[in-house]
Amino acid sequence: MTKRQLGLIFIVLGVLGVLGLFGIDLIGAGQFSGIGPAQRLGLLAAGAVIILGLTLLPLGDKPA
Amino acid sequence: MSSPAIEQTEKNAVGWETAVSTLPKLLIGLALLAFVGYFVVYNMYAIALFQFPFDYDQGEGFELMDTVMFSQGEWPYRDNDSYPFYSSNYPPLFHVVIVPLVWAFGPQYWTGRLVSYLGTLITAAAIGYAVQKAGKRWWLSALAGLAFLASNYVYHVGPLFRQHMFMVMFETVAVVYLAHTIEREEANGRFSPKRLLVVMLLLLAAGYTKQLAYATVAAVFIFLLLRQPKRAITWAIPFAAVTGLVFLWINVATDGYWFLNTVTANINPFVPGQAEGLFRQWFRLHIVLTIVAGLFAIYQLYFERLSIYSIWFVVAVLNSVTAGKWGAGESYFATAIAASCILTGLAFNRLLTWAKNKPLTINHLQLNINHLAVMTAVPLLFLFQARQLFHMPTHTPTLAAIANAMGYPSEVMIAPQTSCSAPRDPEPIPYVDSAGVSLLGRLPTAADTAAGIEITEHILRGETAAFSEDAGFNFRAGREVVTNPTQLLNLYNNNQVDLTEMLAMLNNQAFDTVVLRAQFYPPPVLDAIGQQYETTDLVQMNGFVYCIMRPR
Repeated sequence: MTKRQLGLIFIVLGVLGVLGLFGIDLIGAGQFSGIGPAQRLGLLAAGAVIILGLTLLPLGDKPA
Repeated sequence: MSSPAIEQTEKNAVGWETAVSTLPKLLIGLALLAFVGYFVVYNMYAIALFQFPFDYDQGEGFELMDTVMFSQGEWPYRDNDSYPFYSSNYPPLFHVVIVPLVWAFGPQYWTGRLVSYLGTLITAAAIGYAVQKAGKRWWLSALAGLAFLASNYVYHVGPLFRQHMFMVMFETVAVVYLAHTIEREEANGRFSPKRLLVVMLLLLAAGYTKQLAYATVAAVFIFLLLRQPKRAITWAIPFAAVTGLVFLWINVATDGYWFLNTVTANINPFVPGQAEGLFRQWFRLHIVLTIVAGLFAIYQLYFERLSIYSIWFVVAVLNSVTAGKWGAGESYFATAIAASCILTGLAFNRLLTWAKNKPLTINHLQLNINHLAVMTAVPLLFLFQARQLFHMPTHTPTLAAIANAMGYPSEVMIAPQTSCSAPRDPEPIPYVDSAGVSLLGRLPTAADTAAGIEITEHILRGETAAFSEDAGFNFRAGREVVTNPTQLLNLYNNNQVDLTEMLAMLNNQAFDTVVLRAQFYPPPVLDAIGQQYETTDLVQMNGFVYCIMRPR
């Protein structure tokens, strides 16, 4: 696997994480209206994973 | 300058260089002394625990009970609804390994404590081996291995009759062996399926020692997926199949009580404050190991291939968030600590080799300033790490003097833990720990043993087994062990236990003695005890005040 592919995996995981965290609201789980503290932490983590993935893309075909 | 003057200058320069280049050796010696000192302290604690015949940590006795059941050919995954209301929530391997010792010596606490302690030594040796293989610097390998044993968390739980550190042993040996295997395979271009099979068996052993090993299994397969995706899938399928088949076999053999007790009842509430507090403490105590390991993992992510150790470290740190579950604790960081010790050793080895190969000299001096700086910094960092980890019993004048010399008090004032009796005044405890006030770590004393015997004598005045939060007293009295309070609470919190029979027995005062330590029983059980029993005696053991109760 290459660094670029690893970066793409991180981005996909991060995006899925963001979607999942908003999906929690759609199914009515959680005890807070709007974005709760745990969701905020989760979104921050998912955002960090996406950024990490983006920084790996320029490394191209180097082995991961 | 005349010739004798030049010679004198050169002599001075050589003398100065010799003096400066001796400094790293001195610092390495000091760092080794500090970590060997921690190893001595660890052994003092372990030996004291081997001699202590009662529960030191709540739950040890129930792990001994699991072992006794296996030694009699019985499963400990049972029905909690009927007498003796006993079941276990832990996988079997650790207890099965101890069975021969129980056959030979009977239900003794030292058996499991010794096996767990030996497990930590094997883990430390595996860490040292991994670092030695990478750099061939014996002192660095020794420091990396000893740093693991010097961790406050490893010290606290290493010599206890708990299965956690035995799981960490299997995890560490599996990861180190995998790293070695892949390195060999990549060097000679040939797969070694037998060696990979050994890794899989070690991972299976880790998982059937404690469920938490799933994180290391995940790390290994992520690593294989990065390096050899097809092979990862090829091995993942049989690994999952074998794991599942063993699971199914135990579940069928126990009429489903394996699943109920190890999975359903293990869904405990998450306490965010507990997780945050433990993360902060882990980082503060292991600051050098954690930062160096983290930096090396980031370096590998961007500048070279990710090693199994980096992936293992990251996954283990992320998984340490489960320390926030009710019933979990500091030991959940042990895997991350083992990984950080290896990565720190590898990072320092790399840095030392780089410094050696990139000499930086000043003027006419022969001294490699780069190498000197790194050789000085590495032991200094280990010394700083040693200071962060400070923990030491101070019951002898020499140990108390060492603690004082290090700027620590020789005693700490701690109030005994009370849950069923009035609070007591703080009392001096001859144990100092930079982790803070800790119930683990102090050496059990002859007074603690006498207290345990006293509680047992209270039980022996009655005819029945005691309804006791610690199993040790019933073991010593030769009576049956009745229920496992934390497991009972787990089941109760998940609506998986019918307390009717137990409450009826308590309401009928079927037990002559009740022994409480932390009131871990479910609320209806505590209510029944409160209504039918009254406290007659209070006995203090290991910093806990036990309430001995008799029928009203």
